[in-house]
Amino acid sequence: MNGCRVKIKDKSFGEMSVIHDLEFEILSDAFISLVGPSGAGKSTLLNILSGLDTEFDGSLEWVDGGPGCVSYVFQDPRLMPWLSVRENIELVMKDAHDDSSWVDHLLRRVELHERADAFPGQLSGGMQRRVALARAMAIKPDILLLDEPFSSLDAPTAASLRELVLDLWRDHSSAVILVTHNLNEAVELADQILFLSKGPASIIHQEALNPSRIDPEVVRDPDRMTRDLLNCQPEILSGIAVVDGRNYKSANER
Amino acid sequence: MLQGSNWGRWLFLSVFLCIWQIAAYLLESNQLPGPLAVMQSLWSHLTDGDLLVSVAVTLRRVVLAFTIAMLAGILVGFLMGRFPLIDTILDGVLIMGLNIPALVVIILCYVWFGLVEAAAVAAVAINKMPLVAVTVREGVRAIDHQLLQVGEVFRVPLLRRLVHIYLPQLYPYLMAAARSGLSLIWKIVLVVELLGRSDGVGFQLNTFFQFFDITSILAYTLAFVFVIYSIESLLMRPLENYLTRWRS
Repeated sequence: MNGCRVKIKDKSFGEMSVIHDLEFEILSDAFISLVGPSGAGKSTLLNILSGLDTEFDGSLEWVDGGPGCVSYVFQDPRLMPWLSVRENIELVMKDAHDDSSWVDHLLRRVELHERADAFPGQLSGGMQRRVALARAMAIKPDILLLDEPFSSLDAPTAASLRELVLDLWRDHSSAVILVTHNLNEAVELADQILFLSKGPASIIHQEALNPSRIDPEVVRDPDRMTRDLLNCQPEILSGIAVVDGRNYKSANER
Repeated sequence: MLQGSNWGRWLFLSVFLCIWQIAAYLLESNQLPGPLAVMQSLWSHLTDGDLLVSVAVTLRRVVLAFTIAMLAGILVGFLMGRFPLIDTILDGVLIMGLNIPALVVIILCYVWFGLVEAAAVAAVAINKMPLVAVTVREGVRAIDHQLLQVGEVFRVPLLRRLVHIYLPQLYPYLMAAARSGLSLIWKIVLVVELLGRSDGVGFQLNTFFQFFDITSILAYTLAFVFVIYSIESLLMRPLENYLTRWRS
């Protein structure tokens, strides 16, 4: 995939406009984070990108003709409780029997190869998220959509899952779109942050971050970067970002 | 706990048989033969061969009618649950089907199609089908749409979607429909046989009724109960345990 240009003139539910004049480009190896308050239409945007919602005024323009292969990690893992971990991953694959080594590789990658025959109900919340992530990677997507995948996880589990997302992204050259209301999370992971206004959603600010994070040797300091970001753009970002419960304050507020 | 409940079941059965035997002994009437006499009659019908033949004939009708009713009911119920327009169109017919007495359907089938095997099986299937359709329709309405979205996003092929996403969510409803279906079909098949067939358990019961042979009626009933229990314990319960093994 060479990229996709997202142009949404309007998306409404009845009278209520949820997204208005929203345009951005997804490059093939981009890691984009969409940050915005609750009800900003972030999940609606992901539904449009995934093809779940096709009733909108606008277009998704795939550079090489497309449509590209898009996969989705939903807010909740949405695993089939009656299928084993392995079967959940195989369910979405085109030909799982011919590609069992790929399933094995993914299971090892998410450290669940020993639980391949377990049912989702026998796994912890963090493990279920890892299965959902493996399932999303199973189709070797051009674009991986992540809808607040770390919410409702305890801090260490969320941190290890963030690490896993980065590792998979580095290994498998997919573009990633991460929706979050947690600015710290966005800063830690993404190359580019798109700030959405409270509905109807449109991009009110874009921030390109230091791409050196692609090199795993370079350790980022998300706390400092978030602080800097809020200091630079206090008017724009004030009221949008919720920062991991640590109450970062913009320059105006100090 | 399980052992306790089994113990209670056997105790109840023993007490019931004792009371039955005592009542039969005290009444000394042909209208209430004791359990021993019924067992003797059962053995004699078994060795004569008529019991096995009759049960086999009835069982074949049950299996045929059950299969037709389940397949048609699942298809109609699925379409009604999935597409509101089909639900609106067929809802009236379904309510009618649910409430028309079984006897009316049986008589009409015999009048329209003649006293033939196909009419007998069709009459039973038509009686049962609306109940399956209603149960499946409720199941389809209760399907978790978030799980369907997984199939949609990942473009899972339709057949795989049906087998791995739709069907497992419908299993409880299908099992309920199958269980209630079997019990209803047994009863209707006997009426169908009594009214218009010259073989099967229903026909035999009618013959015994002509001679007021209560012992043979009870012997056939006992055989009948045995077959139902066998189906439940050898087929339905293992199937249910297999399908819901992920819950354990």
